[in-house]
This record gives sequence, structure tokens and C-alpha cells, in this order.
Amino acid sequence: MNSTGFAHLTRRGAMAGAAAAALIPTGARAQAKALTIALTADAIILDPHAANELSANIMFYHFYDALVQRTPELEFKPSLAESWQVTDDLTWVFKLRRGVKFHNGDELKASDVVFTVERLKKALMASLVANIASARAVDDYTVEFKTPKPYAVLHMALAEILIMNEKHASAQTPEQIGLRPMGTGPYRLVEWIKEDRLVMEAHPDHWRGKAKIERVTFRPITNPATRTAALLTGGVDVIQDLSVRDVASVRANNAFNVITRPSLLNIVLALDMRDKSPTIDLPVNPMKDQRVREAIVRAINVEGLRTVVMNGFSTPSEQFVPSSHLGYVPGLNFRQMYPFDVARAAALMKEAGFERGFTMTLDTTNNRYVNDGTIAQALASMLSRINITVNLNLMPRANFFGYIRVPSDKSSFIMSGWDTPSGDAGNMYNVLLYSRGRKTGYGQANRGAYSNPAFDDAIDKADATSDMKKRHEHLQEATRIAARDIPMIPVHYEQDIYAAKKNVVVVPRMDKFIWAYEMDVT
Amino acid sequence: MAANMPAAPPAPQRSLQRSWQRFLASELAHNWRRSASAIAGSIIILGFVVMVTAGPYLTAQNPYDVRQLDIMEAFKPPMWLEGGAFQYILGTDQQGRDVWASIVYGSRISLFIGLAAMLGSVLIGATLGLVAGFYGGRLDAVIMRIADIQLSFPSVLIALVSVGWVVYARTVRGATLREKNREYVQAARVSGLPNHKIILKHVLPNVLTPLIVIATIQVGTFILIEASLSFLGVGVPITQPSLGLLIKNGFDVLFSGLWWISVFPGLFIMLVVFGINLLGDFLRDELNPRLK
Repeated sequence: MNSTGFAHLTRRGAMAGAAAAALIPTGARAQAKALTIALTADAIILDPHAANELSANIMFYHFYDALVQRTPELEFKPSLAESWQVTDDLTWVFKLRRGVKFHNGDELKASDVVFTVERLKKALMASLVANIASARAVDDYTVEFKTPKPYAVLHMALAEILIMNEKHASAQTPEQIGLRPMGTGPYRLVEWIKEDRLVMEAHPDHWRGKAKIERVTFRPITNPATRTAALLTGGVDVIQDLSVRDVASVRANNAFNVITRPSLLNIVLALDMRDKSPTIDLPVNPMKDQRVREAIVRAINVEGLRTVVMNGFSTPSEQFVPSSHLGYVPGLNFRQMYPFDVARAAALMKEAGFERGFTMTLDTTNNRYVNDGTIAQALASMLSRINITVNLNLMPRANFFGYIRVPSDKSSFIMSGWDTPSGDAGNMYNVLLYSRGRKTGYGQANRGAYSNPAFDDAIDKADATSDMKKRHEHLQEATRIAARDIPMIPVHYEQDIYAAKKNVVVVPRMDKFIWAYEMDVT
Repeated sequence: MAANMPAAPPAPQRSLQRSWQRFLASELAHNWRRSASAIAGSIIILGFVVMVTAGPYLTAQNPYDVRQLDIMEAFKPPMWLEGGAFQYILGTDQQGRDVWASIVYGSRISLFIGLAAMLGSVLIGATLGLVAGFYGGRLDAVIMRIADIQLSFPSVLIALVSVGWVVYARTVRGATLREKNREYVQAARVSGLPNHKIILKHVLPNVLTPLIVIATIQVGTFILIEASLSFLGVGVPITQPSLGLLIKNGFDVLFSGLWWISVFPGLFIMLVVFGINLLGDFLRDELNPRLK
């Protein structure tokens, strides 16, 4: 009895000594602050040119920097670029900051920026460079960008282009880059055990100055109840997406803070508009008919989703982008254009000749968006009232994004979330609603194969002007066309809800990124 | 259910009524009447069977028909709490499904899966056990090694039948080894009966008793395994929750004070499995010659 007790003690002592940095609780030692953050999901890949998905994005910005930085309030300020100027309608010149060090000690050069742009052109996220015709290194610290047409928001687009090291990245296979990120960011990777934890440590030579928190661990915890439990029991310091049903009880607990802010993530339903739809057993796809699409909008009780499923923590979407964005049309509101009205919806179905309804499958996630599985079931129940039988295909997010990838040959009806942190509806419309296959870098996520020349034309015009006001007007025109055509139904914006221990300073960002560099532990 | 089983094996094909009378007069029936736990178990099981068969008539709502669900009715507490409604005795879940109706419908799925898995296991297990025990030798060795390998997998990981059969195979094999050297089997052999007839007509009826005991208890086990599988999210479809899936649905909001969604189905599974085990224990004690 005695001996086992002793052995136990020594083992614990040895462990604590060996891995002191990892095990020391938050704030126990002033000079080595550590933080464990629970995310809803793990990154699929750590190559910032190969994915665009919240969990992965959150991690990318710890390892890499862009030329321009987005603040928590979505303002744009210099980052790796110290300054820039527009020399003519098509030319932008960026001056790089001197002395910026990569994790391996190399200094950032203009050639790295050019390399990154070239690499992106062949990468999955090629849409990011769709409006860059060329990038040229004028000297080691000056990069000149040419746009194919006048493009007013190049600096905003550059905030999403994360710069890689030319020498390092060209010597690596894509698989290696996907596993071991190496950039100029404030943190470098220590270890990544998929679906368990990602550990990183502060990059000592980071150009902004070393991060206040020495060691940051991200843990993917999918189940909301488990996430709450992990916070309450002290296993993690900060959690993302506190369950809407747990807000009241965590708020009542003195040891924790609950932080909420309206999110940019718009939950949208993509409707298939092809002649024949993969999961609909009718010879002609009924959703080609605008009346059927309108009936679907009217059958969905968005307010009910807000009060019941989201427990009040959502904002019904008026349009595809929030009011802060370029392209938002004041006064235009989906909920007023097509208010919840089952009788009217049924009448529209009858008018279109589909009174007896049809069957289709809804593809969505069960662990990506807030209460996604519950929303999907509720949609099935709501649409059954207009005789549309919705079969549910709920997938873990790891499978989902591959499953629905354009040409979306398996999907008729998709629920996903879309956020447009660039502050510009164009970034969303280019990817989600521009006709497929007409222009490189456009329409790659147009899941319903929507195609309207008038819409494309408005986008073309918006992308061809260097005048912000004109761009705004063209995008507004596109918004009006899409609201009429209903290729996609905006449902609601989530509320970002974080919970953290009282001693952790959390800065909620409009783009929902969690950036440990901005956090602190007191 | 409890009544017919023990009477069936030794009784030849006579009228049902006579078997029933014989059963009532038997020692088993006599002991049953005097065992409180056996009666309690039988009542629970009987209630469960009635509930499952009468299913749709006991509920106002069909929780599997999405047309009957209304999201605005979600999260209603049980009727005796503030905010509860009489039409939802045990409250509603996050889709507005009546928890009581979900339990009734979920039980049908759970019991069906439990019975089907048990029957499948019995069929496979008893056949393999008889063959292994009767023929012995290499065949026996191969079958029993496969059984050993199967046993080393956690039952939750592989589907129900694929692991359930092992218990039957081993039990039946043991009993067969014992029976095959008895005089009546020898006599049957000498008289020239083919092997399959000896197995079916002479050995099988005499190894049936332990089979019944295990089968009873295993229905309960299978209901639990099915619940675990559903809880882990690899079971039935999400729109047709079984008892396990109901518990999982409720688990997500358990911390939030919405306890009734998972607690009632949980209690219900406990009750049913408890009843099955009570009766199973009684049968084991009664039918095991060594305990007499």
C-alpha cells in the first residue's frame, strides 16, 4: 500500500518536471503563459492555399501573415507591407517591411510574395488571386501588382493571401506543407495530432514582437455539451461556440465570462437549378421554377429557428451579406419579400404544378455550424408542410466539404455557412453565384449551378472599376437580382458565443477568427 | 412470452390447451407464482410488449412523421412542471417530438433490434455449437477458434449478431459434448439414423434449456448495445430515434437544465432491461439442474 503510493508520487513528480511548460496551469508562472482553446473542429489541412474553412483559417493566421492585416473590426492596416500606393488604374505598389523573419530565420523578400501569388494560381484557393494579373519584384522590398481590370479592393483581397517562404516551400511536397506550416506568423507549430490537439509556441523573432502567450493549444471538441464540460472542469481556458442552451448557466458562474457578438457567418441554403437534379426523382428539376424556390423560402420559419433552435442567439438574414458590406441594399429584406407563410407557399407549389410535392436530399454537416443537425431536421419538418419530403444526409464536416464540392454531382439542396470577412459582397458572389466555368477563379463554389447573365454582368462591372462607390452600386444590383432569382436562401447569422475563464482576455473578432496574439492571461 | 417457452421443448405435438395445463401444473409455474421478482419481471415485460404492439394507439403524435412535428412546440417540460402541457406528458425534445411518443416508437425499434439480433445469434450460434460438439475434431477446433477471435472484439465495435452467436455456440457445444455420449444418442446411432436427424431430434431438444436462459437475458443486452451504438451516432436514422438516440439528443442539452429529453428514455431502458434480467435470472435458477 505504502509502496504504491510512493511510486505514484514519484511518477507524478517526474512527469511534472519533464514537461513543465506543457503542464503548468494558466497564469501559474508569469513568464510562461499558456492557453488551451477548444474549437468546434480541427483543421483539415494546414496549407493556407488549400482550404478556406473557419477552423483551418484560425490556425493559418497564427503561422502566416499577409501583406495587409484585418483588425477585429474588419479595418485594413499594414502588416508585412508597410505601405502601398495605387500608381495607375491597374497598378499597385507595395513596400515590404524590412527585417521580417520566417520561423526558419530567413528574411522576407519580395520574391516570396511573387512565389506565393504564383503558387496560389495553381492551388485550390485560386479565387484569391483571380484579380491579380501579375506580381513582380521591383527590388527585394518592393512588389508591383497588376490587376487585369481596375480593381478597387486589391488591398482587402491581399489580407487573405498568406505569404510563404519561396526557398522552403519549393523544396517541400504539398503534403509536407499541409502538415508543417512555416511562415512569418506569431506562432510556430510544435505538434499536430489530428483530431486531438494542435500545439504551438510563440515565434521569438516575430516582427510585431513576441506574443504574450508562450504556448497555445487548440483542441477540437465537437460536442457542445462536452465543450461546456471541458470549460467547467478546467480542461480548457476558452471555448468557441458555447451552446446556446448553456449561456445562462455559464453566465451565472462567477469563474467564467461569456462573450457574445453578432457573427458574419450566414447560414445559406443552396438550391439546385440544373435541368435534372441528382436526388430528385422527377424528370425535370422542379427547383428550376422560381415559384418553387419562393415556396421553399416561405415555408421556412426563420423566426422559429431563432427563438427555439438558437435560443434567441441568431439574427435572421436580410440578405447574403450584412449591412456593413459593399453590396448591401438598404431596405431589401428577404424576410419581408418572402415572409413565412405556409398557405401562400402551398399555393405557389400548386401554381407551379407541384402540388403533390417531391422528394430531395438535404446535405449538411452535423458538427460544423451551431445546431446544424437540429436545424436540418426542423427544415425537413417545415418543408413537409408543402409536400416536399426532405431526406437528411448529415455528415461530419471532414466529409462534407469534399462531398458538396462543385460540380456537386450528388447534391440538390445544401446547407452551409458562408462568411465574407473581406467586407465586400463581391468575394461571395464571385465564388458562390457567378456562372460556372465562364471565367477562371469565378463560380468554383456555385453549388446550385445558378447562371444569370445579368448577374454575371453586374459582377463583371463591379470587378472592372477602381471606384469604390461604383463597385458598391454594381454589387447592389447583383444583390437585387439574386434576391429576385433566389438561387440561394439566406437563413440566419449565427451569434458568436465564447466562454472563457475570468482571467483570460478574449477579443472577439467580427470574422470569428480566434487569434491568440491578441489574447492575454492575467 | 414467458409462459410458452419452457413448455415447448419437451412437449410433443399435442393440443395447445393440454400443454398449457401441463405447464400450469409444472414445478416451474408453481415456483413462478411464489417468486416476487419473477412476477415483477413478467409484468414489466408484459407491459413492454403491450406498449410495443399497441404503440400508435397510445400516443397522440407519430414522432417519426415530420409533418406532425412543430418546432414551436420544442423543449416543453413534462406536464407537471411550469410551462408543461397536458398533451406532452413527459415533455418534448428539440424538434417538438413528444418524449412519451418517442419512447413508445423508439421501444419498437429497440425491441425489434433486440429480438432480431437474438434470433440471429441463436440460429448461428446453436447451429455452429451443435456441429462443433457433435462432430468434434478439426471442425470443432476451427469453429471454436473463430469464436475466440470474435470474443476478443468489443461488442460495441462490431454489429450485434456477429458477436452474439459466440455465447450460444460455446454453451451448445458444451451441452452437446455431454449429450452425445448418453445412451439415447448411442441408441439412435445404432438404429442407423442419419446424423442430422440425431442432432435435430435428439440432441437439440436436450440442449435447449441453457439456450433459453441466455436468449432471455441477451435480449436485454442487445437493447443496451443498440442504445450505445445509437448514442455514438452509428445506429438508426436521426429522424427515427431509437431509445439510445433519444438519450443522445437529450445529452447535448443536459447541462442546460433540459433534463427530461434524455432522463426518461434512460429510465425506461433501465426498467425494461431490469425486467428482462429479473425473469432471466428466475429462469436460469429454475432450469439449471445443478442449482436444484
